[in-house]
Amino acid sequence: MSVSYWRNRDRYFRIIGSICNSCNHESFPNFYTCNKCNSEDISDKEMPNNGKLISYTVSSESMPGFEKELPMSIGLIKLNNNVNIVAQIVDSDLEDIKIGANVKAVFRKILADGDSGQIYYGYKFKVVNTKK
Amino acid sequence: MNSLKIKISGTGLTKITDHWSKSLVDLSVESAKQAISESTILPDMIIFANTLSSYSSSQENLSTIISEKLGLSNIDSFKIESSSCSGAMAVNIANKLLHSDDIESILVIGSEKMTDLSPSETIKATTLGESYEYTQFFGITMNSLYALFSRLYMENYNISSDALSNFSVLSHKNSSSCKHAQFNREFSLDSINKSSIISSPLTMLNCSPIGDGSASVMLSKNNKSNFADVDILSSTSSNSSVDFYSRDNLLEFNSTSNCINKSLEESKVNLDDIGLLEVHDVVPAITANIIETLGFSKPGSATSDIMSGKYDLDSKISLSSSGGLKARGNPLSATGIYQIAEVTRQLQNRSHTDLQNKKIGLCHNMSGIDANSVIHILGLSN
Repeated sequence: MSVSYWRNRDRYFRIIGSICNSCNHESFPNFYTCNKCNSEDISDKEMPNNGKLISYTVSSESMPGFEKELPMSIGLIKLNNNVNIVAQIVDSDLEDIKIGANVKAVFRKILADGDSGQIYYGYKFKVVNTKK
Repeated sequence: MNSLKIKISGTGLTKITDHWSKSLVDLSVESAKQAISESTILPDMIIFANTLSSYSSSQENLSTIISEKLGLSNIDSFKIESSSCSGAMAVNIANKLLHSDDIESILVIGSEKMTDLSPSETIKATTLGESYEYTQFFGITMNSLYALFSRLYMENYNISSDALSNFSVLSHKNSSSCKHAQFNREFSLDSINKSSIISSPLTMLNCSPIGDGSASVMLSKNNKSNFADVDILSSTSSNSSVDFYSRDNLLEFNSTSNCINKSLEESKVNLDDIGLLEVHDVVPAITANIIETLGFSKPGSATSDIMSGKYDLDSKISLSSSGGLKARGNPLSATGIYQIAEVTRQLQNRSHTDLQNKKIGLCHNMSGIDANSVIHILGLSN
C-alpha cells in the first residue's frame, strides 16, 4: 500500500480533485477527460473543506485494520462547490450526524501497518455543531 | 446483430453454501459437468467468470485448469472479470462470439469461493469492485455504500426501512423450497427488521449473504435442448461511473436504463410480455430502484407494488422466483449465471415451483451500484 499512498498523498492530505479549464466543472476524485464537455484540458484543484451531509450510515462491520473504528460513521457529503465525497465522520455525537448537518474536513490517521509499521493519514470529516 | 438466436442447451448449479470441503475448481467442475450432461455436447470454448480467485484462492489461469479437469483440451478458454456482474458479462460475450465466429458452442462457468476468507477479508473481498484509492483505503465497505444509497432512496420517496424489508420477505418465501438456495426458510417482516444492524439502516437480513457456488450454462447455435428450447432473445450491457456518489442524479441508474432500452429493441419484447423477473436484488432499496428503472413499477412505487402482491410467485410477473441474491445467495460472479439457469429451468417447467404460462424471463445483473449492468431476455422457442 505504501507506494500508492505516497503517490496519492497530496490528494489524501488536501482533498485534491480536478477542474476542467474549458467549462469549470469540478470533480473528486480527479479525472482525465471532462464528463461534461469532453475537454482534456484538466488541472488539479483543491476541494473546499466544508459541506453538508446528504446521507450517512453507521457501520458495524469493518475492513481489515479498521476494527478499532467500529461503530464507524460514514457520510456522503456535498461540498460547498457541489462536488460529492464519501468519508468517515469522526469527533461527532451520533445524534448530530443527520441529513443537512454542516461538516468540515479534518486531517486524521487512517490506518497503520501493525504496531511498528507505516502510518497512513488522510481526510475525515466532523460535524460543525452550530448549536454550541 | 443477425437474426440467429443462441440456445441455452444445458444448465448446471451447485447449492450455495459454505463449501468447506470443495475448492473453487471442484465447484466449477461440478456445475460444468451438469451443463455438459444436460446438453449432451462438448463445448468449442470455455469462458470462466470469476472476480475473487486471486484474493480468495491465490489462483489464476483457471479457465485452463478447469478445462483440464473436465478432460477438454485443444479448445479456447479464458476468464472474464467484471466484479459482481462477471457471470452475466461472460454470457454476453459468449453470445456475441457465437454470433460472429464459426464456433458452435460455448460453456460459460461462473464460480466464486467466498468462505475461505476471514470475516474482515470477506468484507474487503465484496468491496474490491469499488475504488481502492478512495473507498477501500478509507475502510468504507460495500454495505456502507449500499446503506448511503438506501438512505437517499428512503428520503427521496419517503419510504421506511421497515417497508423496504418486504422485498426480503418475498425473497425468503420464494427460496424456501429451492434446493440450491442458500436459505431454505422464511423470515417474518418483524424478524428481518429486528435482525442486527450491518450498516444503518441495513439489517443483516436485508443484505445478501456470503456463500460459495458455481453455475454453468452451455450456449449453442444449433443444439436442441433435452428440454423445451430456450433462446437468448437479447443480451446487452452498459456501464456508468463506479463512484455512484459522483453522479449528477444519485438515484439514476443510467447503465440499467440504457441496457433495458437496448434489450427491448433487440428482443422485440414488451415489458408486459415478461413473466419472470430476476434483478440484482442485493439490498431492498437497490432492488426497488432497479425495478423502477426497468419500468415495471413507477418511480418510488416498487415497495407498495411488492406489498400489494404484484411480484408474487403466482402473479403475472414473478420476482426472484428462486429467492434472488438475498435468499438464493450471491456468490458474485456465479450470480448472473444462476439467474439465467433458473429462468431457463422455470421456462422449461422443471424448477422447484410450478409456474405455468411463463414464456419470457428477464435477468438483470450488475456490479457495484449500477457501475456496470447486463440484461438478458430469455424466451421459449416458438
